[in-house]
Amino acid sequence: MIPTGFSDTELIKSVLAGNQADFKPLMERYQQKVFSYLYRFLYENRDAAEEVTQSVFVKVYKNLGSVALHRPLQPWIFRIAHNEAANHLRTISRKKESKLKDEQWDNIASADENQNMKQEEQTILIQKALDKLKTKYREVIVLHYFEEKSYQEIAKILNTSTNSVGTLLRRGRMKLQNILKQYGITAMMVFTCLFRQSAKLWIKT
Amino acid sequence: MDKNVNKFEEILKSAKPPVPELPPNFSTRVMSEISQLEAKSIGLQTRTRVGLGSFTIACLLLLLSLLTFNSILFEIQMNGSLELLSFGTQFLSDIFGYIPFDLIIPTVLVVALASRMMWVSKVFKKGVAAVIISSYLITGLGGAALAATNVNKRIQKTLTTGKIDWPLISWFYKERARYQVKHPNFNMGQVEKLSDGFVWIVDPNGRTIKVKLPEGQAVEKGQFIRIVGSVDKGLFKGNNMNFCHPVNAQRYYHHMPMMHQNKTMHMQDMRKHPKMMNRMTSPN
Repeated sequence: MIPTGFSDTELIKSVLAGNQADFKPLMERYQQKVFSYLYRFLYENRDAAEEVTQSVFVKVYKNLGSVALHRPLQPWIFRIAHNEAANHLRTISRKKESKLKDEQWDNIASADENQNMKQEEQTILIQKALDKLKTKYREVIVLHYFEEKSYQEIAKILNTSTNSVGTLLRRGRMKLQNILKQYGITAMMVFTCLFRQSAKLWIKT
Repeated sequence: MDKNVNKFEEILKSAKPPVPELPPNFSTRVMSEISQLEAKSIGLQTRTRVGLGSFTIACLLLLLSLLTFNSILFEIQMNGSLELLSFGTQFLSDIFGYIPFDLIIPTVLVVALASRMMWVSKVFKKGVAAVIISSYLITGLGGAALAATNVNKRIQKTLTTGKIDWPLISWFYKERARYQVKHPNFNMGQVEKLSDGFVWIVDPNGRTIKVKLPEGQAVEKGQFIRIVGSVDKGLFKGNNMNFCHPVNAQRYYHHMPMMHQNKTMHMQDMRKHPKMMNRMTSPN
């Protein structure tokens, strides 16, 4: 169980005083959030996300002495996660990480509009389109739309300005739309499919 | 337009891929890795301390090498062997006899040791080749720069006049001041007098030598000359001659008192360099 009585600062101070075991509750507070971000950013590769999450917390532990205690811990941890993920992507080829093969992508892209697209397929479709994006655009989209981070939070994680985050998001969206269009899938079509799926679920319930 | 953007944003949000849960033992695994890291870091700290010690020793060794290299260059300048080069490469092999390999070899080894210690200390995150090359460059360029200054000459002058006696430095300079170029086919000195194609020159050792000038050569009293030729019936007959740079030539004469002090004071204590000592002390 994560002790709720202690703040991040208290736990950090305790770890720095030599109580290594207090790092565990601190880590448990953020590990799923970090993993979630990394999982989505690293092409839904569970092993890679888990491995990088582990290295993130090892790094957090190593650098705990340099953390600014008056500031929230989460952006700092996410910044480390961002750096680690970037390093990971640099060393491992993007295609290797990709979940879908190109043929699968083609199959989905050529699917008839009337054919029921499963929610999972739609998700994969977007994910695959995201895979085609440059890392800098993918990351802001993942952080903003999937991890629900604000512009300010993303700016802190990426060590940039909120304006740049806005620009990256706007460009990322445009590029994503273009990729979808390339494969003959309009945003509206995706939206329709998603809407249809949601409506079915709503009727069922 | 905005409507489309909003719709697309909705799509993106809906396409959020589900994330699996981390395994329950994840934090335990990380903690175990951190524990191992702690154990390693203790070793690392110790190594870092040792590394700083190595680095300090390496720096001192490099400094010592630099000073020694400076002395090597000074010794080569002072023994006059480079004068032989003014007659081309015919005496190149003779010059090797005056190169102080007894200092050069230890210096090269000490720099190698220093660069190894510096690399092992991990103070510089550079490759071993970069550390080795840098060490030799520092020694070479630093020693050459120091030798180009007047510091050696001033130390030598101070020691010669006996104003100050620095035990170790004094010993070292006297120990090394023993070589003066001496070659059966070569003479160098200041013109003392001249007469009918003959000149009498005083060499840095203070000996007066009668020399027959090459055909068509003219000299004046007080000039420093270097001359090559051969000895015939006790007379040195010159084949080729040229003039020494007065400043360079005078330094050999300034060097002599140190050699003579050495000769009289430390002959027994000096390490044996028979070949060189013979050259220095043997009669003409």
